Amino acid sequence: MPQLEFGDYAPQIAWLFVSFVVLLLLMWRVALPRIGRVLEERETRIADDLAQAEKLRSDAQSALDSYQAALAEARSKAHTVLAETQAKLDAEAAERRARLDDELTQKSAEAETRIRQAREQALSNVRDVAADVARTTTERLIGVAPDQQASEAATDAAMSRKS
Amino acid sequence: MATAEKHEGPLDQFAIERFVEIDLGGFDASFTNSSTMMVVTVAVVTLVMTLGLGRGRLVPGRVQSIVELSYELVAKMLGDIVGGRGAKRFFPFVFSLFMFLLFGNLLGLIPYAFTFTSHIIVTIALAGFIFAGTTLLAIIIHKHKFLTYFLPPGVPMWMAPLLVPIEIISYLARPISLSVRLFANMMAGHAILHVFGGFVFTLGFFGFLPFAFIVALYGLELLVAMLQAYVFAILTCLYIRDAIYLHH
Repeated sequence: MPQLEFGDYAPQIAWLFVSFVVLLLLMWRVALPRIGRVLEERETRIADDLAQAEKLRSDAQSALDSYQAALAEARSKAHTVLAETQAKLDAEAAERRARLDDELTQKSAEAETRIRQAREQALSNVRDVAADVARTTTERLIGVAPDQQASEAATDAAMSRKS
Repeated sequence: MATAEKHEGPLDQFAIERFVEIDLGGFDASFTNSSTMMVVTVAVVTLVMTLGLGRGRLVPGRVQSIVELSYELVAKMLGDIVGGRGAKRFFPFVFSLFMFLLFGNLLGLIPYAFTFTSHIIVTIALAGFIFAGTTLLAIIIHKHKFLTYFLPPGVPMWMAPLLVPIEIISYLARPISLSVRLFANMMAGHAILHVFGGFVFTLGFFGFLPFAFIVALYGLELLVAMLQAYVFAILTCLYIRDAIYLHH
């Protein structure tokens, strides 16, 4: 059994020692730090990317929030403006109506005055005509013309009695 | 000394052949077929672990994945078993050990290659170093309290005469079981491959039967090669943990 050839032990131990120490040094000093660095870089890169994504997400969220806030503000402002305008228009309309009312009242009063005057005018004209007619009729009937004053007084009396 | 021009027995494949005779003041440090495979293993591991990493791309390619996977395998093994600062401190050693054994076993499976882990002296040298190192570590960390390892606290005193010898024997058996496990697995696998390889020619036409068996066995041997390297590394981690924390 070659494994029990004691004469072969020394070279195997010697080269085992040399090769393993060389490998240990190469791994320890050269290979492992590099691999560790690559893995670490990847880990930090992934962590960075995740943090970046989280930041972007929160940015987008805050943008959305502020947009919604602005929208709500604009909406409420529009409401206010609308209400104000409505109130102003209402006030204006009321004022105009009041003014129109006044004008109309005044106008109708004027018209009434004018109508009354016209009636009075007409009535006085009627009296004159009636007095004339009475005098002329009397003259034709009895040949004597009553004087103007008496016939006017008689007409007035008749008219006032009637009304 | 196997200088026979043709391997005959299934064990002759393990013969050490001196390529260059080197004598360091009476110490035989000849360059042999075993030394060749050790140097080749170191070269291959180093090439894979340095060039395989390439420029260390963010998204690893095939070889880079192997490099990173083996790194993370050992890092996780050490982290799970030892943990803390100890895991970091012993990482280069355990990683080198794992890679040395893994590639030594795997490269040894290449036809005509030599498997240096199939020699008990190699595995016992490694196991003995680990045993001595972890024992020394435990003594440095725990001083005389290291002896309580053989009598855990809470054990009734009357058990001591029984328990202490058992614990001491099991502790001393560690380097032996560690080295024999690896050596025996590697030697047995290669010997069986050789035996069935002989059958392929002696059976003539029916040689395809042992040939098919060899194919299956080769797959199993690949598994054994990786598994034994892994077991060796994981037991080393356990011994380191025992040295640091003493009680299991």
